[in-house]
Amino acid sequence: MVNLVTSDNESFTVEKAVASRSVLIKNMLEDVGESDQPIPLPNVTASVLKKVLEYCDHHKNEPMPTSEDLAAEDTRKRTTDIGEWDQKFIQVDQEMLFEIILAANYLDIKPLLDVGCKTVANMIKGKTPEEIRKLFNIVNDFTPEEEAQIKKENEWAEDR
Amino acid sequence: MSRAEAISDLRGHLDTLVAAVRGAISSLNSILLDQQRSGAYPYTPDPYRNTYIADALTQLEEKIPALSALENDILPIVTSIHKQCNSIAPIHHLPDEILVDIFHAIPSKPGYLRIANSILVSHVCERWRDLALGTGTLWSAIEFLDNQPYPIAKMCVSRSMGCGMDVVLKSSKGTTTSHNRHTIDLISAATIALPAADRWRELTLECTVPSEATQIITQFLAECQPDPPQLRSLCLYAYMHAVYIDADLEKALFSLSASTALTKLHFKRVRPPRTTSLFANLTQLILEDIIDFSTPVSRLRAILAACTQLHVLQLDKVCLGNEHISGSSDILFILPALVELSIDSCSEFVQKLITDYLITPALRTLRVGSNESAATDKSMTYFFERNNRVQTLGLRFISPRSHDVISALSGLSDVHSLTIGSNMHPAAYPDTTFLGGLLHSMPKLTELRVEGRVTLLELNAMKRFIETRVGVPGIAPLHELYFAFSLAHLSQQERERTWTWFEQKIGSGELVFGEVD
Repeated sequence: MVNLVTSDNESFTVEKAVASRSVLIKNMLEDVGESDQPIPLPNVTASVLKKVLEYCDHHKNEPMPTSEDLAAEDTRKRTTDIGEWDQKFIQVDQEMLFEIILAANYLDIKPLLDVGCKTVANMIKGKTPEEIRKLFNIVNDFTPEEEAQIKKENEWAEDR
Repeated sequence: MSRAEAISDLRGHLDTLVAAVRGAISSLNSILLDQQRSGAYPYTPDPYRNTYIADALTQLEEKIPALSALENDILPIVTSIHKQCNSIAPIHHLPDEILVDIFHAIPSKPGYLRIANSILVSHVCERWRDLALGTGTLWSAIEFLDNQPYPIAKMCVSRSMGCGMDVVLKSSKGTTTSHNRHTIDLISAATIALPAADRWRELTLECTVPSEATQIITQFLAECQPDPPQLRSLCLYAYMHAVYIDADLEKALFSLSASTALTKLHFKRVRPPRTTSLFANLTQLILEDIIDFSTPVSRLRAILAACTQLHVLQLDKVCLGNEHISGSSDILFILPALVELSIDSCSEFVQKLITDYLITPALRTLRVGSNESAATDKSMTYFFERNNRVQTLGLRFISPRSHDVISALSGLSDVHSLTIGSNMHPAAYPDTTFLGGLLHSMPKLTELRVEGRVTLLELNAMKRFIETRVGVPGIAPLHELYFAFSLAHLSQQERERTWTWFEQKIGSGELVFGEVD
């Protein structure tokens, strides 16, 4: 078992197979060897780690992506398909979604990072810039010059 | 109220204030203009009221500079607040590289340019625009589809910076009666992308006559001089009607093969050339919709024999000449690196070339389909027996009912994913004869996909197939079931019962029913 300590000082004791879905933790465990020492995760809060561990537990028996898999994914046209369980898992509020993405990035859990990014990408799909701003609480902060250029680009795109 | 909400509120109020000041100035100017006109052509019957309004407006007019000054004072504050609001938006907690990954992952909309999403995200806010414009890979596709968005193409050439480019030149709205216009358009479209010829990695060319392809390939090679081109993929399609490769195009393709090592070739409605050097470095070859009985099947054999590094081969509706293939063993040929093979709706002789004479020791993914001229059971039996290391198997042909074929299939002990039927062929065959013959075979099978629609009998055959595998020692339980058909034709109660039945069998696995009815 592995003991993980979050930024808000909460402890989680999990199977090694679950914790090792994180390449960061896996490497730490390999470096440290057998030890009862808790592993501090200063960039992850308890509520987020709980979700991340739920994901890791569900996928613990799957093969880890190899470097070839990752390279192949970069060159391939990426798909935005997300498995059914993953879709349900990632149905969280925006703030939690971005926290999960950040945690997956920090903990180096590439498949979870992909699920998060694809989810955000699917949220953007088919929307107008104004709808995207509204969705993510973003403000239009373009200068008048940029606005003029954007208008021109829209005209070009509409020409086709 | 949180700090973020308070800032957002403040931004809203300031926006309203600026808008109000602007509106007040604008209205005031309109009133003053109107007043001037009224003064020149007095028609108001109430002179007292007229004078009163004139005085009030004069007072207001004196305030315009103050209002303008207020607007100018507030604007930088508003801009600053906007930027602060953006910096505290939850999505902006993500670092640049993740946002860029998200931009890359946005699915393209059918019928839209691939870079449409890059344009979209660059129109959201300053940070997104800076990121999009600083990421060359977001702009690395130039597409001329039904029209020529020249400025967009030019923009892609400049914004893609040093990145490799995917160039698509096709005019699917062209008509057979407008060849000249189409030819000029395609060539001039290519001209826009040619300044970046040294960065072309993939070229998709849909032409109506061979001369278009010849001219573009020749210009491309000339533009790359003196450096060798970096092109790795060539997709050559014919629009509507098949295109023969004439001597000039053959020569251009030969020059191309002499100067660059193509790894992917896709010919659609275009007869494959004689230049076998074009195929020497291929890892992927797709031949599609090539119906030409005047070309002998030996041409395909010569091409395949040249593809010594091929990993993926797809033959879809390839119908070549009715040439006799000798049964002697010296005609056998090998594709040592071929991992994935798909053959569907090909003529009998093409199918025979593959099933009887091709040796593929590394094959792991196999999809087989057939038209009415299905290969004989003997050929298919021999073929499956030879390729018994296959892990992913797709069967789209309609008659695997022979005992010998089913017996050969049951010998494929490494299969972990099986797809049967096809949306294109309405008749699927997950029936008792077929599935009954595979009950305890394919011990590693964990994923079953059924495409096309099924009858109730076939549904029951599937249930039996799944049920008989549960709890059998040495047989992996199925845990991923994807059915393209829907359960819409069943009653609500029956539908729920069927869903629950399948769900119970796969435990925590995935169960998907599609939309095909």
